[in-house]
Amino acid sequence: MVVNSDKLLVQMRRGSIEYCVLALLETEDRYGFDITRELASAGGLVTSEGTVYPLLTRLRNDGLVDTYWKDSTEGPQRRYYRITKVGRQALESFISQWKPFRDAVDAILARRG
Amino acid sequence: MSTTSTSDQLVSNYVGDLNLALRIVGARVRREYLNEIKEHISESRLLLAADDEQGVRELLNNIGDPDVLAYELLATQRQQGGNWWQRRVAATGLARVISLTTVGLLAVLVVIALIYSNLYRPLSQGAEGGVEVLAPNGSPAQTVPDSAQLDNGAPTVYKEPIAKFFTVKVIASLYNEGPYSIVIDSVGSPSSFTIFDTRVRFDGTDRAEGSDGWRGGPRFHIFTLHSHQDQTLLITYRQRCQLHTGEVAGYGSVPVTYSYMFFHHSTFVDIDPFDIQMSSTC
Repeated sequence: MVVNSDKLLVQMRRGSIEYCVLALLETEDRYGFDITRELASAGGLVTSEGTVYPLLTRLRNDGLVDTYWKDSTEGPQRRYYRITKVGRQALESFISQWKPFRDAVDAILARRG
Repeated sequence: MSTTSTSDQLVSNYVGDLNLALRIVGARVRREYLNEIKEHISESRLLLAADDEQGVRELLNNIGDPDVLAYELLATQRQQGGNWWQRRVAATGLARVISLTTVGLLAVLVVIALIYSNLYRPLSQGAEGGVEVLAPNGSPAQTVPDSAQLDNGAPTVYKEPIAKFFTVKVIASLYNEGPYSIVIDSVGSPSSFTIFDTRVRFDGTDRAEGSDGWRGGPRFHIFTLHSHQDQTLLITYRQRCQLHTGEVAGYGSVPVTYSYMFFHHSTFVDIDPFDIQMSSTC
């Protein structure tokens, strides 16, 4: 089986990117462009910046984040995203699963020598 | 006079393409997403030089291909939890969903009403009945001996009068046995032979038997037959004499057309049956 590396990246990203967003919001509230740029700068997490906005909508609909509008000195009001209590719980849960999972994968891959 | 820079044109084209690609998602979601992308572009351009065309190209490229984004948005919508109703509300807005649902329900009700009205066939024979077969001089036609007196349910057999034409008068009684009113549009004669001068009248008070015949009341006009009502009609026509010695033609119903809601129906309503025995001479 030949694995398309783009597809592989998409699949890996799919399960984790929303928790990356929650992690970004854990420390401070951010607006869409800010979140997008942070993810893009991390490398490999976002290929199309435009796909982050549907993700933010999904997080909002799921009650993991909420939003509010805030004046901007550089233009019109910005919609800020803020992590909710449910969002924090979801993030904690992900972290508790992610670390052992990542370690297990790393351990297996390390056997390749 | 204002001029549009190449960068502005690039952005405008991109937003246009994205708007077009987003037709596959609901109007509300499309509007919201477009606004977010426009804001994203505006924020990004603040970091670029005034007319950094290459920078704008890269910025738009980083946002992503409009078609890919549209499908990504659609996929996100579909992945979203919740039932169909919640997704529709999210996609099109509550007011629109309510209006569409209302229109849909009304359409279903109309279809059900149309099907019901199409199947609504409430006409049957009422209580009244009778027939007169008259020679041109008004005298009643002879009956086959004893056929008029037999009480076995068999129809009376009239002998065809010896004349080119003779007159037949039939009492038809229409009864609406359904729960809703219908409109009676027309009533015909029971004969399938060549006939002339068919006249239909509402029942008259004077219906004494004999050479005087039945006169009937006012001329037929379209009328409403209410639920569980009947209406007696007098149908008069002239029939051409048929040369078929001894053969008997039977008559047992009249054609009626009626309307209910948007449908016109044709049916036959029973009358008291009678036969006419054809003659060897006319």
